[in-house]
Amino acid sequence: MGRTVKLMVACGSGIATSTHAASIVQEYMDERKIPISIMTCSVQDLANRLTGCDVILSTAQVSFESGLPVFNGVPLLTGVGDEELLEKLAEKIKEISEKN
Amino acid sequence: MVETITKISNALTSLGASVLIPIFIFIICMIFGAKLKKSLMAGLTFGAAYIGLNLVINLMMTTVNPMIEIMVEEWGLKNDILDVGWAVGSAIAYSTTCGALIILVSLGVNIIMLATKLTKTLNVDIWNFWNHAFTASVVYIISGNLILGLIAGAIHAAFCLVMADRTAKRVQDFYQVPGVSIPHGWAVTSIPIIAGVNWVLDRIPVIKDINWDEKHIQEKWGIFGSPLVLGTVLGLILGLLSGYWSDIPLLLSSAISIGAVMMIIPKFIALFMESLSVVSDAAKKFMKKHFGDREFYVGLDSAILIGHPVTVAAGLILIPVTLILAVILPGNRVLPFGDLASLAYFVALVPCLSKGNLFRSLICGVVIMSVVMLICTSFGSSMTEMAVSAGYTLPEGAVDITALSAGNWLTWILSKIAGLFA
Repeated sequence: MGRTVKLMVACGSGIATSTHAASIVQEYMDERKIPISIMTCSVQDLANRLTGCDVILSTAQVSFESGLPVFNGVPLLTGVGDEELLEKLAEKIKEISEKN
Repeated sequence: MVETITKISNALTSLGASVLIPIFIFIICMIFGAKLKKSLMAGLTFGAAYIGLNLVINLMMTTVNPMIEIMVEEWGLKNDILDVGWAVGSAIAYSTTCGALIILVSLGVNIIMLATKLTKTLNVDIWNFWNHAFTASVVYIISGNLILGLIAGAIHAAFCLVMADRTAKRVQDFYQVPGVSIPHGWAVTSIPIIAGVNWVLDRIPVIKDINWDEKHIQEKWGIFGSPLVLGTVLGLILGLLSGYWSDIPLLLSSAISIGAVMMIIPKFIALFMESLSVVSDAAKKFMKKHFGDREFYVGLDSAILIGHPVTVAAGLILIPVTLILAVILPGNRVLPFGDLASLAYFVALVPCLSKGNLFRSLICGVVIMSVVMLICTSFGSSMTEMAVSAGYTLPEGAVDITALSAGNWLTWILSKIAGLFA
């Protein structure tokens, strides 16, 4: 097993939808024993908080280039296309985890 | 019979919100078919969040109150109602009697309106039912009648659904979020204000063609998007205004404390969200099972719109603008504080209703913040009473609390109507 991947989950406030999305992702990854560490913040604060992060999942638009892979978290809130998103995210996280 | 009900209700009330609402959350989760273990965790987490919030409210109030008192006394400022921010405001609204019942009321309104085809929006944004809870609680405090309070909450919920339907197409096209609408309890009340401002601006030559570029604002000023940095700077400003310059160690420690308050509060409020996540998931599945066979919009938080570059830029520029407004706006008693970190929410719908124009976002922002502060002033001690009735202990002092996000005209009108029945 590779290293623990750091995921930053962002939303408008860093409080509501990001907490919700983070709990869904955590449960999904735990079930599959994928090592992940999740933090949450607001999109306005996102650029200041990326040190050490590997992947971004945001329920709001990310309007700057950070060089990190960004996933759109809205499907987790609507429940439409959420399985597909979680699969893609898990794949990316496994890839990063095993590369290092 | 009536006596028995009164006895039971008194017994329940004497348990206090930290016990009562966890039980209530547990029951709601079970009704919507969540697993026993998850329902139990949701209830207990709410209890923990309640205890945690009591700690941070006190931290915030004991740090900021002495400064406000000095500013009011020394400078003759009138800003003696502290904005504790939407996060604390929502937690208080949820901890009241109306707050506990509002989840069922708002979902009930949604079910009836879906069944009668009065709306196409399925609102799964349980967190923001706090806006309805706040309306219900204000009306309850004013009229002393729980049923009137819940009716007011239901009207607020219905209004949100109607406005969400009407803006759905524009929101979906502009933000590229298919199948989504925004029934957010605050955001929908900004729609008529934005429409009004746009109507006026469109009729003024030259001004109607102004279109500002926002590209470099986030790059240059993005550091203030951090609640920690914003809080520390605010702490310095408040400290200087309170005459702490003669005591540099006190000034610096106050700045660090206020930065810490801004950073720590969201972490505690996240516990409420964790608890309500279970309710939201269960309700989402329940509603989809019963209404999933037809086309509908999923109603989400306006938070998903906040990332638009125009909105991020406007949210930053509005921080100093709102502080200045708070001082010069006649009749205002609110000191903007907690919600300064969330000003983007107040203009979240502007880009989509005025073609992504930063100039319009700022003009709408000024009008909206003026309205919001005057309404919060008019609510006076309502939120303080709400917090006390929910069992939160507030430090002694002349300072009342409010939350800018609670300042919407719909609640204000409903509370005025309720006043007629008092």
